[in-house]
Amino acid sequence: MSNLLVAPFLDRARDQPGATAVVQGSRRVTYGELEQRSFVLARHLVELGATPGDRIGIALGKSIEAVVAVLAVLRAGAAYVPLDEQSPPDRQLSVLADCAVRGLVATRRSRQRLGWGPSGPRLGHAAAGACPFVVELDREPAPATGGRGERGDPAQPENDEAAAYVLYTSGSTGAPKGVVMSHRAARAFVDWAVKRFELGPTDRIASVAELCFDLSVFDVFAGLAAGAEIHLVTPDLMLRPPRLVAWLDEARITSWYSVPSTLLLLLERGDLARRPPSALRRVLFAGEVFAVPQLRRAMQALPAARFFNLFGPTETNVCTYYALPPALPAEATAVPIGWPCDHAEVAVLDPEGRPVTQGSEGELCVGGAGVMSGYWGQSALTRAAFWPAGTVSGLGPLYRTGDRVRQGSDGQLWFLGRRDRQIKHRGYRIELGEVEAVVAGVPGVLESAVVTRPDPEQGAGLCAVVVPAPGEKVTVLAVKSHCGKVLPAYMVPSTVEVRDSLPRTSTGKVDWLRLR
Amino acid sequence: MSFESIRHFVVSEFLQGHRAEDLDLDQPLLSSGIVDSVGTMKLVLYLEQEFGIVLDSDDIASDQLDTVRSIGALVEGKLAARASGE
Repeated sequence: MSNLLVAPFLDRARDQPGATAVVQGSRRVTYGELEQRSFVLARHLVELGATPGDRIGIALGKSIEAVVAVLAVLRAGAAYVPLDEQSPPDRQLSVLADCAVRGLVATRRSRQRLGWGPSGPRLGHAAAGACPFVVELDREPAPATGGRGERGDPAQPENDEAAAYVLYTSGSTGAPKGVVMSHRAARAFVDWAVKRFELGPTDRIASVAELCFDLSVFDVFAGLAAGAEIHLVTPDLMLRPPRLVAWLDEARITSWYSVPSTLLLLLERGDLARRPPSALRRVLFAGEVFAVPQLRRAMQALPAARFFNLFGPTETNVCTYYALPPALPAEATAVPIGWPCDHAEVAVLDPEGRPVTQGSEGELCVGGAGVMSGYWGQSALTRAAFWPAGTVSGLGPLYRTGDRVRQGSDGQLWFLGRRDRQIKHRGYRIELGEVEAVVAGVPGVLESAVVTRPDPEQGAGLCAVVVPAPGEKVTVLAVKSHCGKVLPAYMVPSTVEVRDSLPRTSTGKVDWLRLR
Repeated sequence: MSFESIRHFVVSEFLQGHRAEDLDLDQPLLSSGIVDSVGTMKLVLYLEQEFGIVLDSDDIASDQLDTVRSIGALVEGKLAARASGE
C-alpha cells in the first residue's frame, strides 16, 4: 500500500541503496542495509507471533538499532510504542500493559531495567499475559539473503487507518494516555514536511528528540522519505553542549529540529554564537513558547539559517507553522504560530463550539488528515476530546487542543495560553494535576500544591509546596525520590518548599497567586 | 575530599533546602529522578571544571554518575590515573 508510513523509505531504498541513511558516532548504515536489516527483523517479529494490528514496544535509546526496530515493527504490520527511558520502570511497564503490547524490542540492559527475564515479563505482572516475547537487539537476527529492495513487507496492516505508532503523554487524572496515530495521519504530516521544507538527499538532519517524543517523526520518517542522512544526537553529545556545537559543524548538519530550550543550551553553554555550524540552514522549533529575546539571540547566532515555528500537540502532530522573517521586527514581543498546514483544518471556537468572531480569543480546534485516531482504550476520553463532525459546517470531527488562540485579520494564529493547568517544561507536556496526585502521596504530607516558578535557564521549573502532617518530618529528598519512583525525571519538581501551611483566600481556597 | 565537594554541589544544585550532611553517599541521583538530563549535564560540567578531568562517553553512559560515592570514586580514579601518568 502506497500510503503506509514506511512506503517512501522503501522507495528511497530502491532508488539509492548505497546512500547513507543513519549515522551514529562512527557507525553508519546505508538505505539498502537499513531496508535489509528492518526486513529481517520484521520477518523475525512475524515468526514470533506479531500480527497486523498489534502493538510492539521499543525499549531502545537513540541508535541505529532503534531506527531498524521502528521500521521493522511497521513492516510487520504492527504499531510501535516507544518507551521513555527517562521514566521509572513501573511507568514504562504500565504503558506496555495499557496498550497490551504483543512484544518488546529491547537491549539486554533495557530489558533488565524493566525487571524482565530473557523470555519476557516477570510472572504476576499486569503486562505478563500480554507480552509473550522480547527481542534483544544486541543479538540481531541473521541477515537475509536475496535481492535488496525487491521484496515486500513480511506483513501489512489492513489499511492506512491502522495504527502506526502510540505515544504516551501526561494525563490530568494521574495516568499517562496513549495517543494513537494512524499511517494516514502520520503520512499527512511527513508528506507535508518533506514538501514544505524542501528536504532532499543532500540534507543532513540532526535527530535530537527521543522516539517517545513526536518531534522524532519528522527526523526519522521525513528524513528517510527525503533520502536524507539522519545524524543521531546521542546522549553523550546532549550532555556536552560545546561538543555538540562542534559536531554540528563537523557533520555538516543542514537541519535542526528541537524544543527551544535545547537550542538555548547550545547558545548559553555551547558558545553557538562564536562557532556557528557552517552548513546549518534550517532551524525548526516546537513544543513550547520561544521567548522573543532568546529567539532573537538564536537568530543572530545563525544568520544563514531560516527559522520555523511549528505548532501542535501530540494528538495532531504539527498543525500550524510560521516561517520567521530573516530578522524579527524590533517591536515584536511574540511570534505567531502561523497558518494551518495543508493537512490541517483549523477552527477557533467558543466553549459551545461556535466560531468566535475574528480577532477574539477562542480554543484552537483541529481536524483533517493529521489528527489522532483516539486515546488507546479510552473511548469516553476520546469522545470528550473532539467536537463531532458538522459542529462547524463543512468540517469533520475537530480535536479540542485546550490551547487559547486568537486569529488575526490575515488568518494568522497567535497562541495565548492554556485553558487548563497543563504546562510545558523543556517541551515536555505536563499536567500539574498528575504531579500533584503523586506529591500528595508522599508519606507524612498533610497537604500540598504544585506550581511553576520562573527558571532562568529552563523557562519554568516545577515547585512542590508541601505541608507536613503534625509530628511528621518531610524532607526535600523524600519528596523528590518519591516522585522519581513514579514520574519521569522531567516531571519531578525541581524545587521543594516545606511550609507550615498553604496560603488561603478569604473563602478558604488555596491561593494559587500567592504560591507562584 | 572530593566526596564532600560533590555532595555540596549536588545538594546546592538539586536539593535546595536539604542539609548536605543528610544526603546519603549511596542515595541514587539519576536513576531516582532527582537529577534529570539537564541536571546530568550540569553535573558533568561541574566535575570536569572542578577537578580538571575529562569524562568520556563510557563514563557518562555507565551507572557511575548515580551516587555521590560512585561519582567520587570515578573522580578519584581519574585523578590517580593522571598523577601516575605524569
